[in-house]
Amino acid sequence: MTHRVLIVDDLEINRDILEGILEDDYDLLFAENGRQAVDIAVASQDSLSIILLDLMMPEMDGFAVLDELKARGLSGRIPVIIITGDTSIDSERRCFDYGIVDFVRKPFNGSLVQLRVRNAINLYSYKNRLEEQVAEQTAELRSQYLQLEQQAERLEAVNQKIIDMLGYVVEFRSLESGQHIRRVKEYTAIMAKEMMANYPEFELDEHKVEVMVSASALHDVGKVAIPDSILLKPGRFTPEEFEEMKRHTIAGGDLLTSIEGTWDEEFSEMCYEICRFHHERYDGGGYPDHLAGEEIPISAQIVSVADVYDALINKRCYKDPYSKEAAFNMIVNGECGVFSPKILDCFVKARDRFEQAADALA
Amino acid sequence: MNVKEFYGFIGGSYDEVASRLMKEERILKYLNKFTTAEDYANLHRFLEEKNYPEAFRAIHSVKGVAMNLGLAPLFKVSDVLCEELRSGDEPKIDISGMVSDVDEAYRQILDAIALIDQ
Repeated sequence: MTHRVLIVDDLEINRDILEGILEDDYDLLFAENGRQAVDIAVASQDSLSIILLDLMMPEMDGFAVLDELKARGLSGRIPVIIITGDTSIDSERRCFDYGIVDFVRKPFNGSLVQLRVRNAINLYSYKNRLEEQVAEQTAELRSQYLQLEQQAERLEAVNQKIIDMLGYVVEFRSLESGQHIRRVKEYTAIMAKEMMANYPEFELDEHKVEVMVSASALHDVGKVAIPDSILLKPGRFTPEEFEEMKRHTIAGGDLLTSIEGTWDEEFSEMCYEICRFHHERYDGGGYPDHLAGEEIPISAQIVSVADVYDALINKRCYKDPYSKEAAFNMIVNGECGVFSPKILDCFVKARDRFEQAADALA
Repeated sequence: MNVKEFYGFIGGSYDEVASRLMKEERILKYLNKFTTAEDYANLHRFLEEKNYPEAFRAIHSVKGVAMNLGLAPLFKVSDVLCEELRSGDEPKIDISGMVSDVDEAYRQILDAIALIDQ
């Protein structure tokens, strides 16, 4: 490819001299003043390899041309060699401040100008090519990153569906609609946010709340291990049946331990806590491990109150639904086992939101 | 005389000019053109009109051509006048001597050009 050179000089003889030096090797364009030079540079910016610029010109001088090139973002891409009769060091310094590649004084030696032009063109085509490559590679990386991000989002969504589905499997076996899981997740979210706002000592943050809500879907997953004769029994359990039913907490924990490695550690741990401990009570009166006080993980305490509230206000094979008001009072009065004062405080504060969610998801 | 002898005659360097203009025809073309240079005529007109910025531009061009064509004696005197007019203001000293030096050098070169065998 023949490089294009723009020669800018108001004197015909000067343009001719440069033409004589360069015509064999380059495709030449000419401008008689700064205004023309800028117009040509802008119009041919993609094909122009270098500008040879005089300083002293009518209409628009060389410095004004350098200003314009800079303002239009062309100075970094098209190299400029100043060719001038101006011999002052100040002018030369000023030109280099604009980022010119070379400064040649008249009278000049023709073959040296040829060499300088060639060098500057080579240097800039190398530099411009490198910059293009970097830009291409950056764009490539960026698109790969976006793809990865989308895949991560999809994986996350699929993961959440699988988790919910595991929960629904159990619910369908209990002949329930699948709404219980949705409501427990909603109540868990309400409670967890209320706890986060009021009790910083539990170190809850938005991310932990999200994980907790997601994990709450699996609180009853251990019920897959309970026989239909017990799971679907209408009316009260015998003491033996109740012992068998309590096993769903341990079975759930075991199930989650057995699929270790599928989910990240934080999520797995929270699932385990919720499955195993969501029937523990603050006074040690729960099961299966009779934990008491803050020994019970906060996730299990939160899901516990969410689970109890939903069980109370909905029909079960062994009971009729209670009103929302009755359910509220039963929990606050300790009729469903003892909850921590902090949990109850938040439950009371969040009463309206519980009732709105109950209506919305009924 | 030929072009090379012309440079010897006026006290310029043929080799230096040849290294810049590359071809002897080009040197000759501009020596011929020089005889009709507008800039020189303009210089006198603008000085008479006291249009010093334009007078500066004219002498600056004369100087540039003299430099490019290796016309050393003309370059030397036009450079002196050029610096005196650079500010664009009316000179504070009498420049008539400088102007006549330029006239003199210009005439000598014209005379020498006329002697070149075309």
